[in-house]
Amino acid sequence: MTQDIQNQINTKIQALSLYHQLAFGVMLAERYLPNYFAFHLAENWGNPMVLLNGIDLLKSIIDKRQSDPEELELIDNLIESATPDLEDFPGNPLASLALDASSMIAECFAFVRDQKPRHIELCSATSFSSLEIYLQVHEQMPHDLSAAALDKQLSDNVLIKEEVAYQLGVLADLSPEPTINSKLFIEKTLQAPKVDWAGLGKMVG
Amino acid sequence: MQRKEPTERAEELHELIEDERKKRNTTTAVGDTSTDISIIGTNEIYLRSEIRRGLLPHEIIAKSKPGNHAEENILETAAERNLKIVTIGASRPICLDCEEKIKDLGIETKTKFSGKKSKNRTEKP
Repeated sequence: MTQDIQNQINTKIQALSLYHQLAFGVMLAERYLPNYFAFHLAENWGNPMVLLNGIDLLKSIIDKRQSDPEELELIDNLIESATPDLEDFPGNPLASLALDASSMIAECFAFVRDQKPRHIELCSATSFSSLEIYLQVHEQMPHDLSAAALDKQLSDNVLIKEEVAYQLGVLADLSPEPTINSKLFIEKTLQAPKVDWAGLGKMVG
Repeated sequence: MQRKEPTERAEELHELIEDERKKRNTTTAVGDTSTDISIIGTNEIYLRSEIRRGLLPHEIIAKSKPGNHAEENILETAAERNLKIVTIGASRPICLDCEEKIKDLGIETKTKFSGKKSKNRTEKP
């Protein structure tokens, strides 16, 4: 994924209202919860309920347009304790994907605290990063490709193109600042590109 | 061009990861060989793009193997390429298993040792 495209996405994120920026981050983060579940089931580690509660709390914050600092601190500590450390799961792609899922939700909460769009931009970048891990493992790409060579391969990949189109499409739909409700979250989640994440664990063994 | 000391370079590369949780929960390591080549390792299955973009021409990427820490990936890649690691550094303290391997090979490091095994790895036979 080229930096130009990420910059294009970032500019569109910055143009949204605060709660529509947050809604975009939540829509991206929610899609990656199954990756955390897959890791949890494979390694018997972590707590998916923490991330589910985190998504619920984020949606509630969007709905009520307010947050409770004590709740934010509690969920932050819970997410920290449920986030895998790669020192304990080295070379495990499911652990990397679970880390990405936790990170995206944590970045949404960081945004709630300081309203810096960079956190939502990082959700977008992490979404691409998870896809990159998937594609590198699935396509058995050489480990030592230069950044430029990897960018070229990834930019040409249909999944990355679909993800770019999806993120830009969601941003365009959020631009007129529609009412953020469950229907909108469901619609956008269903529109997300389909990725066969399930085979990753088996591929690496 | 003068190479940076490996611990300093590992920390510099790792700082390219903006996301705080990813920064805290992954490791980047650098091994300087007796040649001009330096080897960059990670404890993830592939080196993340943000770090890859920051590599210099003399820096090559270690192949990651499941179960290996960043330092072990560097040592194994060096052995496969007949390169000798002389100094190594990591973005966080080096675990007990990696410390023993590094010391056995007479490799120097300025990175602190944690003195602990990694939790999951201690369960392995």
